[in-house]
Amino acid sequence: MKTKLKALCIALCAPLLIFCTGFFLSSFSEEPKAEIKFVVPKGWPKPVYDFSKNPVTPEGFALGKKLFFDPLLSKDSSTSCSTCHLQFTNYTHVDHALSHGINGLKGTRNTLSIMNLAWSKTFMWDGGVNNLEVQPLAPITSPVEMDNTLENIVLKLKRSTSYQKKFQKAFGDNTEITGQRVLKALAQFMVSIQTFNSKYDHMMRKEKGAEFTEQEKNGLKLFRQHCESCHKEPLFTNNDYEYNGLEPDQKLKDGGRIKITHNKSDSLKFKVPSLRNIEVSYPYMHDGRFRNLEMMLFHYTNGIAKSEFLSSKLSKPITMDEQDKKDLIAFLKTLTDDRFLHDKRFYYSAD
Amino acid sequence: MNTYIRTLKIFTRLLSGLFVLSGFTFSGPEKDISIHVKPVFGKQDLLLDKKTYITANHDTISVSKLRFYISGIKILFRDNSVYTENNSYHLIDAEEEQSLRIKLTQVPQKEIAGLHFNIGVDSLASVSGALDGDLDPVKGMYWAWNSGYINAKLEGKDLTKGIEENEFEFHIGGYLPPYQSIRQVHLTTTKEEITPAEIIVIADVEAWFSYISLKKTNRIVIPGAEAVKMADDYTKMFRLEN
Repeated sequence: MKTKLKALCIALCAPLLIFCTGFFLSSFSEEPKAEIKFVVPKGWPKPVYDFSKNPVTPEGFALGKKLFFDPLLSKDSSTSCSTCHLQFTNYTHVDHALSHGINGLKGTRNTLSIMNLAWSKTFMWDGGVNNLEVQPLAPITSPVEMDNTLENIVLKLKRSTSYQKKFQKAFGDNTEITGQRVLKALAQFMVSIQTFNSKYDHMMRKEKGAEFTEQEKNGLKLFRQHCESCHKEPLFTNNDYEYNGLEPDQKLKDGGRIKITHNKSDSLKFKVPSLRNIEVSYPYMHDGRFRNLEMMLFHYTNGIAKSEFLSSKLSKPITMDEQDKKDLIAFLKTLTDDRFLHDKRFYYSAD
Repeated sequence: MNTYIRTLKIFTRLLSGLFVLSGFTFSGPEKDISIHVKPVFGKQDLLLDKKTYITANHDTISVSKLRFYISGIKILFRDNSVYTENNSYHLIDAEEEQSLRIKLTQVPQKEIAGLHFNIGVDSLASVSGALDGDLDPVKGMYWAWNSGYINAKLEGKDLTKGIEENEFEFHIGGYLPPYQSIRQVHLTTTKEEITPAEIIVIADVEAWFSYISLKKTNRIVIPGAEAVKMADDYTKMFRLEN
């Protein structure tokens, strides 16, 4: 009797499920021009970015995207933002410990991901940049990234009638191309890069069908026990700077946050990065020294250097057996948001 | 009858004339005026690149760049009233003639006591993202890796013999405590004078250089204690032309 009922249930539900999945999938495959709307997911804090002075419009977003993909931004038109910030890999330079830019020159830090930046108070590994709108100035002017000036970019853009039209569409008729507008358009694009649809998110929103395995459940428990104090949910960062006990690299001699504040207590501190999509954004740490999540965890259990600057949150040693580590990694992988990594609205388009 | 009407007309005209006049005395007439910033080296106009100067500390130099922000302009009158310019941010660039004249609109015509302004950009503008006009980062007065405006720039060459690395570079900025580098300048006038059409502010690079010894320091390009000191020093290069 029971089995019959079960079979009936499956028979009734399966077509519905197939229909729904089909509907779900088609809704994604057919929306390269879908509307861009900034979302504050349920339970998330208020964004930091001031949208009142730069509301995201479809035209502003499109212009920002075009600029983001355009190597015109670099001195020799070789390097674009997307050279180092690739969507499929969580907008970072995957498999590059230290990113390289113009003329194959190498930088001194690992590319940070671009995502959920509306909640960031500061930008860059040392927090030197104070507003999303002025963040692009750092890579634009860096001699090893784009080696350019905003002034030169504006001059180049003014020569393009296609760009002139796009600026007018985005900022109104008779709009002149200015540095401010270049930065505002880029900000509209960047602020729209939002990830909040991972398995973890579905779980937290108690969505139908979302369920953690026992391993992932244990991983979440371990995460909250050992990692949560810095990598605070739901953003998976406390938006602060910490020294996590990495042995300083003798060649790079990077003091981190102290470069900005000149405050000795900020020695060796770096931004706490968000862990969303961590699975695809390897290598890890500000200098990209860890190739995989296992190496990263080994650092926290066995590799923490003794230092007066070590984050107080790490003063108690973390002990985990191999099974725990596997469980924790399984949980970290639930932060991967495939919908975000393959969202066609963010694909390069030639127009 | 006719003469009567005519007298009445003259009388009303006189009355209205008086009314207008009295109106002026109550609110004071207003005029558009300009503040003219004059970069000089001592007694001479500052000539970029072409001229060699000797500083108080015996450095032989030429100047290639002088830029600074003037913000928050206020004119003080002897009756203790104040004219405040709205949205007052001006980039002064010794190389750009038109940047040396700041137009102020509807300034009351009264006896003036002095001029107040800031050298630099306030912290609010420093954290407000991409701004326009003279604050547009396109002007090259915005730091990329450490956000905030460069309040003042002075660049040039140390022409003292035997020096290979002969460029000097002072980029003074920083808005975060304890290294804020915005500075107030208060200039008072001793003359008794009604608001002139042009207020001339002298920016004397020789006075700035009296605090610099290139043998000791020829480069300050980050916020910090050195920049704070230099910001204190360069406020002393301003004076009103008599």
